[in-house]
Amino acid sequence: MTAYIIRRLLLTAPVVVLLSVIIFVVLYVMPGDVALAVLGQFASPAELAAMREKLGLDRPAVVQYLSWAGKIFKGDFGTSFFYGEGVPVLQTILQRLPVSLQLGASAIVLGIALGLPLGIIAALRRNSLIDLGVTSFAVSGLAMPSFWMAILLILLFAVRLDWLPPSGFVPFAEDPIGNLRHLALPAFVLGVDIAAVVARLVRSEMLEVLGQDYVRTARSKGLREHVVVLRHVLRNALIPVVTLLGLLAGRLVSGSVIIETIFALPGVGQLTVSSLFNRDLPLVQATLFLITMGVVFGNLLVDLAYGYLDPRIRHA
Amino acid sequence: MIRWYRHLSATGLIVTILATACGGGAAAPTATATKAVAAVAPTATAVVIPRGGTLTLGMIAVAPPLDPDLSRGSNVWEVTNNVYDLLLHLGEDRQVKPHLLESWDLVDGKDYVFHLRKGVKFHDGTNFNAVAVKAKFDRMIKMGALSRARGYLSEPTGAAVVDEYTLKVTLSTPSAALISFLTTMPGFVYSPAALAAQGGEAMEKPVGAGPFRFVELVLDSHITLERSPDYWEKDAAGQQLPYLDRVRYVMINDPTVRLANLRTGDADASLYMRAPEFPRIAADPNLRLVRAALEDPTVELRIWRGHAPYDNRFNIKALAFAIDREAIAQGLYQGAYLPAKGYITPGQWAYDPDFKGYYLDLALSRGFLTEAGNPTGFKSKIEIGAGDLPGLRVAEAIQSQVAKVGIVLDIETVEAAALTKRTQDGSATLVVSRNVGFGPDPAYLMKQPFHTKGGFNVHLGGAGKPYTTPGYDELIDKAGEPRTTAERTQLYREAQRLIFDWGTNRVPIVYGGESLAHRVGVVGGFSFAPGGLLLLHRVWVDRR
Repeated sequence: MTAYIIRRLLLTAPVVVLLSVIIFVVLYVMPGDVALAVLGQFASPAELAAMREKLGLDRPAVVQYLSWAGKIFKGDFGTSFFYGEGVPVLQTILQRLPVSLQLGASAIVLGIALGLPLGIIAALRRNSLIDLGVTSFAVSGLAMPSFWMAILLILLFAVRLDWLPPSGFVPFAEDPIGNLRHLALPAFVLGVDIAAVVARLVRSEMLEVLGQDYVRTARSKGLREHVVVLRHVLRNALIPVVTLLGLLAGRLVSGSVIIETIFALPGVGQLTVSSLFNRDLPLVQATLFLITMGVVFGNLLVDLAYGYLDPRIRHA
Repeated sequence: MIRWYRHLSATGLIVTILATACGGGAAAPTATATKAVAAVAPTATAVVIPRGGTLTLGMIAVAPPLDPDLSRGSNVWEVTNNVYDLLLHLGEDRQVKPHLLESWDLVDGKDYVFHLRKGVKFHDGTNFNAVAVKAKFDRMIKMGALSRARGYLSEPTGAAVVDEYTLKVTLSTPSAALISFLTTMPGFVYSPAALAAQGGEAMEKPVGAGPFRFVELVLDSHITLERSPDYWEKDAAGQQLPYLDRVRYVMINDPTVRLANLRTGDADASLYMRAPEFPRIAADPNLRLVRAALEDPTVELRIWRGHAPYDNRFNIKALAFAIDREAIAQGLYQGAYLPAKGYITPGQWAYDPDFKGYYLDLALSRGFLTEAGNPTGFKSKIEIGAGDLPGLRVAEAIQSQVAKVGIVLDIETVEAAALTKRTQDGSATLVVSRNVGFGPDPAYLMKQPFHTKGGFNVHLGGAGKPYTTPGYDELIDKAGEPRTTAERTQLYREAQRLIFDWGTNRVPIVYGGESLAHRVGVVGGFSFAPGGLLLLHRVWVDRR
């Protein structure tokens, strides 16, 4: 297992470097003038040039990249152009992170809690009305744009029924119940997306495992059905679902950008959008880098868990 | 067995359920809401206005700094307006009223002497006096183009303290408009001691002399202000202003969600209501719409004349006479906005009610195309900032309208920062622009885009080349000097006729204005100052 972990870590290193290059290049070639965004439309060419020099944007691209990369590997992501002189962008991001983490975690928990039983039931009741209902739910969850579903849910649960607040955020430490009420709708919108994917995968994996010889053998031994399902079918069907969770990290990030904006949640997703509009380069670079690192290391953890769960993987 | 239900569209099913549940548009008034209206709504006989309470006001996200010279966007001013306070106010009659500046004298036909209000304190306890106002002018002059206020106040070259409450401001050229501009953002005053304490670069935590003092800004979440106990102004009944204890601006970027917050009561009022929402608000008995005067050229076409086809002024006139502004005002804005005629807006004293500007006349348009040498029309493009959906709708409407005379416009959506860069380097062509801004005096909007030395005209004739309309600069320079209002009115109207006859580089499409919706009975006292700034010192809240 140790060799497997070391091998996976070594493979992750070039991915991290490559991603840092991609992030830098994408933002470097992005149209627009950072100095103009900082100074505004009345700035003269001389003032713009002075600002570019101050921000280090007049240096060759390679020098800019090496300088940026060198600093980020030391944990220095620079300071924001907009959110206060001398305020490290890492501090700004870390202030927002709890909101996004709570939203993401709630969505995953909700997604699994909803998707897993639905997938199991659909597989066990194949071709029934229940199966059709679950499949329809999964297709709808995947097909429906999250912003649209969000607006509909706000109109239903906040405006029409007055059960939940339409938007905003209250920290858990300040008001636990208020916190959960504010997160319910956004977490549900993100969670439905995850539940749809999980339900579809669990259903198909379950159906595949149900047809295996060892399941037939288990049944022929006279084991009760729930024992067969839980011990022999579900356990094996869940291995690909674990992999899926790693892949869902990326989906969660893109979803949270939209959901945080609609529900006015002060998280990293909304910060990314506003910093992009502001051309706040250090902040955009830092958020993108940290988000991609989150996805990379999330997938690494999943790979390690996968290796732990399935000996064939770590010995391959 | 035929599994017919397999063919059911699951999406359709869920949509139907949700749509049914959400149907009905405006929510029926609840018992609670109705009771609140009956219990609280102040009548004409009510004298005592309720004091205290917190107002929750929805608005779009505000980006720091909340600095009068460095802030980006008018939404910041909506907040800072209630913190810094203004040197002067503009009354409903569009006349300048004393505020922190009690009176002023014009000296030698050029410079101004300001007489300041005594006994006013900034929120940090320091005195509002001539030293503080001098510091404001000095900083703005030193910052030059970096100061947002400098675009409006280009003439001051220095300020000198005469005594504690008297200040002399020296101008480079005589300016009749300077006083008017002190009624809006350039007239914000702040504590120089607080700025120094914050490092001297930017006012991250605003400290002014306004009715509310700043408490906190949580990015993309909210801003909290609280009543300043030292505020000097009283209402007509002698009650201390402001009435509110606290104001909480909640930042909600999505307009539908902003309105939803209002309907649920999570917000007491919301700024930036859109024209398509007006009928829905009007139909909801719990809500009331408050609109500023329709005085901004809210939507306009900006034209860069350094390259074909707009280097030929007749092509501009052909384009302008092919646009049906009435159809845009009615079709896209449900009649909530007015079709624009001139560049001097109905809210300004120089407004010319008889001026027709450009109007729909296809024969005239074709005539100008012939005069330009392309009688069958021309091909060009119209540029829109990415995500600007209202702007895109205007572009699409114009595209289809001008096609009737053979003008083919391709719509190009450009990322916002990239579009700004194009407008700055002169490579833009034709841009739909919204939220043009308000000038309490025509001097700003009539000078900046059209005068050879105007701040918006730097690249309109090509990269680094302003566009000059023959005879225009002289008229505007004269109109900007201290003269009688009648004389200035005459000069501005003449200047307006000149640029429209010649072919202008800004074609106004509709006049609009700020809007706000609030819950009836729970809050009241809202009104917009001319220019769309929302003053909250007379707003009350009553939750009994």
